[in-house]
Amino acid sequence: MHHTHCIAVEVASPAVGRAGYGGWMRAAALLAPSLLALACASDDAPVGRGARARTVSTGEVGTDLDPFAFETSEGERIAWSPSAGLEIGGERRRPAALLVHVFQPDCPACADEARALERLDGDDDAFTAVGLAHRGGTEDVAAFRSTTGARHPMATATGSEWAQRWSRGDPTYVVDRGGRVVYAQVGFHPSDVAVWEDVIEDLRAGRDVRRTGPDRPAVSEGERLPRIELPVLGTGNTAVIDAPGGRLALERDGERRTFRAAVGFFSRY
Amino acid sequence: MVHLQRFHEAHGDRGLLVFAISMEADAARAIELNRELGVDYLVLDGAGSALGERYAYG
Repeated sequence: MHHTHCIAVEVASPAVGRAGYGGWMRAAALLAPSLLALACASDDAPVGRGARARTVSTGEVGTDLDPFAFETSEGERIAWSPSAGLEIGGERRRPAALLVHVFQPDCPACADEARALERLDGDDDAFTAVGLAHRGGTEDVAAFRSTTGARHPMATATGSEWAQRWSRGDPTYVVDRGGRVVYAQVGFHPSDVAVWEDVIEDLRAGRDVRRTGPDRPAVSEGERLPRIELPVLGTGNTAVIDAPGGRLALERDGERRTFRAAVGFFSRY
Repeated sequence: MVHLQRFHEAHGDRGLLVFAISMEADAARAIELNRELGVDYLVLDGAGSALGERYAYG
């Protein structure tokens, strides 16, 4: 199933009227991979009335991960606390690096990340990955796990207070033995795997880590979006979407057309 | 995408530009899938692009 992020805007300047990223089906935004929106500068276009920009969760680096206790899609207890460490199905451990992937079961990028996590080395006292869904129920998580082929434990945290604080932006956290968040990112890109490996290796080696993920820009109301110059799928001919002089325009095949508003999104296909 | 297609059909002639940036590495597959879904809004090829690297992380 395809999910998209999109922003619909009507503004008097080529700026974004609503922000959204890394989330799924919120308000007028459809979910993932990511999204862009442009609004034209039309003299008779209404002033933008977008939603508040969301913040991402990367501000959590340096804080302690809140304790949690949920049930995995296999019916096992999965819990974390600073005092007891990590518990999965009655087995306790305190890995040097605990990676917590907060996801949504119908999110393609989350599925990509779940598969990518399987490429990380180890499920032992040095490193453990867990997935916590902040949407959907146990059946959705079980289906997600089956579809992705991921073997790391997953549970649903949907509706929990823990998820309310820790799920914005579908983040991924790496936590040290003491429960301190040493790395955080939102969303997923294949290039993240190398970063995770570095962070995990540092923790295994006992090195101090304080690191945020790649710069994942938030698209916020009032911001101007970049010029888009890309080939049209299947033709190779370049199309340009831009707003020179405050007029949103599409130029392709030698023709230029202006618009009052636009909805654009990154698509899986 | 179905909803966006409907949005495009309803408002495309009224000044709304609907466009997608495809991140599918296999362009032929992307073309086929869009065709099956009945998409006729603008789809750009963003696979491997710097724009996608920066924004397509959701």
